[in-house]
Amino acid sequence: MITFDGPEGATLRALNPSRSAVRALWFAALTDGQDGWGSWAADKLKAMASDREVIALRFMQAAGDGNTAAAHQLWAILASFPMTDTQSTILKAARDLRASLPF
Amino acid sequence: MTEFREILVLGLGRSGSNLLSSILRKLDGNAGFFEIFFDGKAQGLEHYPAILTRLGEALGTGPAKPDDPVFLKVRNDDPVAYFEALSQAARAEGHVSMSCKIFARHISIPVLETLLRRPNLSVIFLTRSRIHRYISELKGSITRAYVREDTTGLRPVLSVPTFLKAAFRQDRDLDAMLNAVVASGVKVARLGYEDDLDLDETLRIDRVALALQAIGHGASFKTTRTDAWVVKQDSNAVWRDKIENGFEAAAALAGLGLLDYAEAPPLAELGQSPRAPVAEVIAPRDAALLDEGGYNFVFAHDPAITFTAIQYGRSFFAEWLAGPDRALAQHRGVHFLKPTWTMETTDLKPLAASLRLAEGCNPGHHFVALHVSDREARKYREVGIRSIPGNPNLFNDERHFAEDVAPHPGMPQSDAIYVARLAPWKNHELASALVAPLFVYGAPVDPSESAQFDRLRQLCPTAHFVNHTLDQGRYHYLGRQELASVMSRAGVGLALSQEEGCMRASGEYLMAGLPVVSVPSIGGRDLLFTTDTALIVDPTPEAVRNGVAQMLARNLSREEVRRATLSRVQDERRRFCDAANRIVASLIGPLSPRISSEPLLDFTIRYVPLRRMIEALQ
Repeated sequence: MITFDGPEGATLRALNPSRSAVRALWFAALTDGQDGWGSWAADKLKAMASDREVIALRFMQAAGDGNTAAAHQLWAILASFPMTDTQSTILKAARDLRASLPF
Repeated sequence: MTEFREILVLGLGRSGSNLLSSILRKLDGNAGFFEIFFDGKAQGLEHYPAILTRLGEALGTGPAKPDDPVFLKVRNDDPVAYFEALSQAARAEGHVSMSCKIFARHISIPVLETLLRRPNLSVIFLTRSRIHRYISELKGSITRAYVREDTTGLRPVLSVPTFLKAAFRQDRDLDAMLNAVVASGVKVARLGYEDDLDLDETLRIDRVALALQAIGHGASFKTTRTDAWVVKQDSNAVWRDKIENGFEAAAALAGLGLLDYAEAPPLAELGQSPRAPVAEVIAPRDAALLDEGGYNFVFAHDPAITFTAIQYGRSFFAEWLAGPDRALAQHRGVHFLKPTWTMETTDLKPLAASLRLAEGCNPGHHFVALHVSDREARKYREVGIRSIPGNPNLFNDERHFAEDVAPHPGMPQSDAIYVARLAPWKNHELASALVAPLFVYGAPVDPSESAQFDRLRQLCPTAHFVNHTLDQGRYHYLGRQELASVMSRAGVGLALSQEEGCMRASGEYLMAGLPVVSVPSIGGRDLLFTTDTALIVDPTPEAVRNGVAQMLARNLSREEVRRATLSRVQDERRRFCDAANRIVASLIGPLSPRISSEPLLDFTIRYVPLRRMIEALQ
C-alpha cells in the first residue's frame, strides 16, 4: 500500500475519498501496517461511531495495537449487530480475527 | 380494495436498471416506467399513452410528449407535483402499482425526501460492482449506445484517478439517498446486479420476487421472459479483460489498497439481497439415493463440513437432503461439491434447483461448488450456485508418486505413457504415431470399452497394453505403487481427451516427475501445468508425436518436474484452503473447523458410499 506521507498518498486524499473508500483504506492499512492511514481514517469516520464496519475496524485496530481490553469491549458491541446478512470483507475479517483472540 | 403502491428503484445508471425495470413492467397491474426524471425525456411513459394523456391534462401541458421541452420544464419546476400527477394517472387507468427508477442527481435529496413521505411507497436499491459499472459507463460514453450494442470487443483505457474520483462522488450521492430512505422509514430492499440479475432468467425473476416480497409487494408476473431488447452488452466476465490496461489498473488499485473497494458494489451497509425462505417438501426421502455415488468425505462433524461429488450433473447428497424434516442432526454445515466432469458444458439448472431445495429443507446448511475455471465459476453464478476455486487434482497424494520409484521390471522403456480408461473420448488414437506407447487402463468390461480395446490393438499394434501384458493376456489391476513403477518406464505422460474432468492421471504424471503432452482441453487439468513441464499440441497424431519428441529433447530431470509441480500444488492448496475457510466462516461463523489439505488427500479416489457418510455424520 502507498505510504500515507508520500506524494501518492497526498494525491489520493486530495480526491476526497468517500466513507466507503476511507473504510477500505483503513482496512488495507491494518493489513499493511500503515499507521498513518489508520489515524487519518479513524478521524474521518469519527462521526460514524455506530457503523458496524467502523466498529469492526476499531476492533481490529485495537487488537493490532495489542489493546486487548479495548478489542474485547469493541467485539462485544460488534457482536450485538447481525453479522450473517453481509458480504462485507471488513466484517468477515473481524470475525476471523475474533476467532484467534483469547477472550 | 388494495391500496395503490409505488416502487422507486434507486441507484446509478449502468447497473442493470433497464433489465430490472423491464421485469417490473411485467408485474400484474403495474405501470412500469423507466427514468421518469431523465434529463431529456421522461423515459417509459411512451408505453402508456392513456396515462400520458391524463398526465398532460393534469399538468396543463396539453397532449404530453415525454421529450417535449415544455412538458419537461413543468416536470423539472415541480417534480413532486409531476410524480403525484403520474401516480394519479396510473391509478385512473386501473393500475394497482407503478414503478420507476431514479438515479443519483436526477432529483435533489429534498425532493427525494418529500417523495419518501408518500404512503405505500417503497424502495429497491440497485447496486453493481463499482469498477464493472464504471467500465460500462466508459464504454457507453464512447459508443453512445446504452442498449443492445455488443461492446465486448471495445477495450478502452481506464484512468484510475478518474475512476476513483467518480466512484467517491457516486458513493456520496448514494449515501445521501440511503440516509434519506433510512430516515423516512419506508420499506427498502437491495438487489445487486452480479448476485441477483446477471443470472439465469428464472432465477433472476425469483430474486426480484423476493425483493418485492421484502418490501411488502406481491410478485405475480404476467410473463417471465426477458424483453428481446434487453441484452447483455459486454460478455467479459472479468473486469480486467474489459479494458486495455486491466492488469495495470488492478495493480494500481491494489497498490492504493482499493482493489477490493473497486470490485465491491456500493452500499455494503444495506446487507445482502433477500434470499429464499425455507422450502417445504412433503415426499419422504428417497433412500435409493444413498446407494448412488461413491466419493464422499466428512471433514468435520459439527458443524458438518463434507466433500461430495457432482456426478452426471447431480448431487445425490443434496437430492437426499430434500425431505419433509431436517435430514441431519447438525444445525449448521457447509457441503463442498466436487464435479467429476467439467461443468462448462453441463446444464446446471437442475443441480441449482436441487441445491436450493436441500438448503431450504435444512436451514443452516449450505452448498459450495468447486470451480476450475472462470467460465465454470460464471456458469455456477448464473444459476445461483456459490463456488470457490478448487481443483480435484490438488488432492492427489504426492507420496505415492515419487520421482525415484524403481522402473517396473516387467515393462520396457517407452517415450510415453497414457493412463486413461478405454473410452472413445479419451482419444487414444492420437497416440497412434508414437512408436510403442504404454497404455494403462481400467478393465474393459463394458461392451463399448471392449470394442475400443480391440480397435486400439489394431490401430496401435506396437503399443504396450500394460494391464494385459503384465498377466500374459489377462487383465491385471495396477495398484498405486505398481502404477508408479510403470510410470518410471516412460519419458512423458499423455493427456489426449478434449473434454472431461480434471484428469487425475495428468496430475499424477507430474507428481511422478513426468512432463506432460496434452491436447487443448476443458476440465481443469492445466492447473498444474507450467510452460516448462507441459506442452499443449494440436489434437492430431503427428502433433502428439512431435510434442513428445520436443518434450524429451528438453531433457528435464524427473526431480525438476516434480519440484516445479509440488511448488504449484502447495501454492494452489493454500489458495484453496484460504478460499474454503473464508466461505465457511462467512456461512457458519468464525469458530468453525479450519480446513486443511492433509485430510483431503486422496478423498477423490477413496470409495465411501453416501450411506456410510450419512451414518458417520449421524
